[in-house]
Amino acid sequence: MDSGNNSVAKIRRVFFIKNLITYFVLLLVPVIIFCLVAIAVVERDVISLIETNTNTVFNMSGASIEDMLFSSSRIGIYVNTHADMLIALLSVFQNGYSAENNPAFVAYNNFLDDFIASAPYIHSVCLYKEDSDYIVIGGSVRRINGFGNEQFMDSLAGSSGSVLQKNNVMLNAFEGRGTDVITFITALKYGMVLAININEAYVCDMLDMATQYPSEKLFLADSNGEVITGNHVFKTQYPLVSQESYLRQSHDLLEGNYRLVSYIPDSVVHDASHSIFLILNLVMGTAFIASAIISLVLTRNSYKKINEMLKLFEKNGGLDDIVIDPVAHFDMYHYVVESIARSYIRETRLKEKVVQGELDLTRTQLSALQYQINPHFIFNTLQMIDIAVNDDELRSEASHMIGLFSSILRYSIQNPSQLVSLEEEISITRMYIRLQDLRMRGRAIVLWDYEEEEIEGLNFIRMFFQPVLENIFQHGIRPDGQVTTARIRLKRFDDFLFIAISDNGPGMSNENLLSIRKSLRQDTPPSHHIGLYNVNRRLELIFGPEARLRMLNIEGGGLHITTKIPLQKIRNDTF
Amino acid sequence: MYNVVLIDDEALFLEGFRKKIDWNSYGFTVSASFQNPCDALRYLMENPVELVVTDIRMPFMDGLAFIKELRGFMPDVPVIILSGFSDFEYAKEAIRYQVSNYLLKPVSTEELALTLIELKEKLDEKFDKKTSAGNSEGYYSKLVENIKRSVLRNFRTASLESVALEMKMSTNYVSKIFKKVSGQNFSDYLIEVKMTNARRLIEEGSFRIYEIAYMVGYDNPKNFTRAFRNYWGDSPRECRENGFRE
Repeated sequence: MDSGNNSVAKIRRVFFIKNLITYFVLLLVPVIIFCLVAIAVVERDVISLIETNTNTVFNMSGASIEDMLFSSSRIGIYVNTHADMLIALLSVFQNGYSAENNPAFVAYNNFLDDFIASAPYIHSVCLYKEDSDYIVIGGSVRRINGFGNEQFMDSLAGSSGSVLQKNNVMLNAFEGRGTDVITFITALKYGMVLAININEAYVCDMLDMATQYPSEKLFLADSNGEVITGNHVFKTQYPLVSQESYLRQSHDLLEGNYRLVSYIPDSVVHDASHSIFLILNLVMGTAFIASAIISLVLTRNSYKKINEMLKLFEKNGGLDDIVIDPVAHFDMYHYVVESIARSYIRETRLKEKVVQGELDLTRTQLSALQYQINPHFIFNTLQMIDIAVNDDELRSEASHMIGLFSSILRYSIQNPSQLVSLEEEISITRMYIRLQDLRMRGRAIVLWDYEEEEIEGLNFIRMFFQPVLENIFQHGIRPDGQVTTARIRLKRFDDFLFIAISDNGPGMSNENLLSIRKSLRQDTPPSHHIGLYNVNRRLELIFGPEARLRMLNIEGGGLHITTKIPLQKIRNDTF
Repeated sequence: MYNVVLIDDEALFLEGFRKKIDWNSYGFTVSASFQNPCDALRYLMENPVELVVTDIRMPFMDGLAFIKELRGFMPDVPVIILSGFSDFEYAKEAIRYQVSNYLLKPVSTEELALTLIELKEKLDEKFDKKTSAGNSEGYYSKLVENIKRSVLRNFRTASLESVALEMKMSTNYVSKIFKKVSGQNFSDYLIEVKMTNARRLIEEGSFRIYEIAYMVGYDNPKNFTRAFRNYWGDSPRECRENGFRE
């Protein structure tokens, strides 16, 4: 049962692993497919969401900027449309005439104050004329000399048309660093320029508030791609870091003269898929544990069932009635197995009985046959001994005869269904021949013809040669006084052992030969030649029909008896 | 003379067995025989013997039980067991009780003789007895002469066993003495005799090879041819045609 247990343990392991893999794969494959699809869908959604959001951003911030600029242009419109203002300004630019008392200027101032009050993003408003020594800042006139702000002044000077520019303006000496502004420059009538400074910080904040994603870079650029300003994220990470990849979107402002550009790092897009991936890992882990548990439980159940089945077969190895323990819990599988097991055991028992029966029958037949030949031989020999005892010459041989006789007898009644070594069979035959020598007194000799190596390791039936030789000694002695020679040849050839026993006696008539052949084939023993019939039957029973005795007349007189035995049936494998 | 006690439940057998061989010529004398093993034990306690021969299956006491009892007070005495049927289990048990030999009934005279010869030699050694003729050279040479004569007379059927039986000596002894005196192995001598006679018969010319084989004692001509070739260098046929090498 050891190897059985080992193979069951192996089956158990394999079964467990198979189950594990099956469930794991079953759970995993749809999950993985789902996750991949989900990631693709989510990313696509995220991108469109970003785009939507960015559109909103653009719209909002674009609108704000345009709003600012549009509002600012009102100032220009005001100035352009008030002739008295224009005249006043021209004279200011001409000779620095203090404008404070000019009613047009005052009106302008008031307008500006109102405007600035409603537009906190405005830092300052400048009026400028080329070649003038004066500049109007807010409501005051200042000399350009000593105003400073060279960059700013340069930008005013070189401007043509509407322009947005970044500048740094310091209105007072004590300001220190000055203020970063976005300057909106428009041309006015008579070569005058209006510059509205918008606080860059305001624009930045506005852009910041507009952005939807914390890492989003949003900035304003002109048609050449020159950056004007951007949100705080942009300013702190400018220039763009090239390692990361970005989602770039842009929006045109002011008829394409300016552009809002948004850069959103890909990680935002991937954030969502990242979380899905983490969830997938978690699910895989859970799936593995779940399938391990399921497989373990199933394997244990199957193992228990197999074990029960094996025990069932074991228990029913004997000849008792089939014993199956009552099942504690009913189970379809168990019921089917039980039925199969029952049928199988019953069938096996029946087969065993049949085989045993056949075996017994053969054994009985063999025993009967083997014991049958003995009376013939026994009485002959007893007769011989009787003669010897009563004969002066032979008396001393009587004891020797008895010795040989009892050895042969003992040999002949042992183990009829078992084979003996061919050497032993030949040795006993030689004893028999010696026994007959005393009777034959030189009238017959037996010669053997075989190679000792060829008969080594071969088995044979008991009492094969003796009945055949007996036949010769009884009926086959030459009447002419010459020595009757019987020759026993054994030869291995072609996977067979060939045995031939021939003599140079008178032989027998063809009718007799035919009648003997016929009687050998009978089912029941004939009245004559029982010995030969017996040997033939035993050969057929043990070695099969091919091993039957074949008999021929020899030309010139004598009988030739042969048989052939397949070597595989008589080889002693332990040799 | 060594003393023997026979035990068997059949009176007829005891008588026949006693008469079966000439115990004296082998150096033994049957001092008593019993049908009841208990009587035998009582006798043996008083009278020491050198050999006990007993049957195995007896109604009063099982043969093995008897031996066990016997071994109790005679641990060294040789015992021969007789049995009507070869009973392997018994034989196995018998070995445990240090049985000298296990003979099957009907007891072969030769086998009994051989056993007695061997036992006598062992007992002689044990009791430090020497054969009456002593170690004289003449005795041994005479013995070997007898052996050779016996072989020459019956070379067809002669064997170490048959010669030893005839000389009433163990095969070991015969073999040793022969070698010592003649310098030749007995088996070699036997072959020499057979082969010499075979040559004679071939040169005589009137016999077939297989007949010659049979006449020198080989019932298997193949074995004869092999032994012949080993001895003379050529096969019998070649020697017949071309003569013998010198």
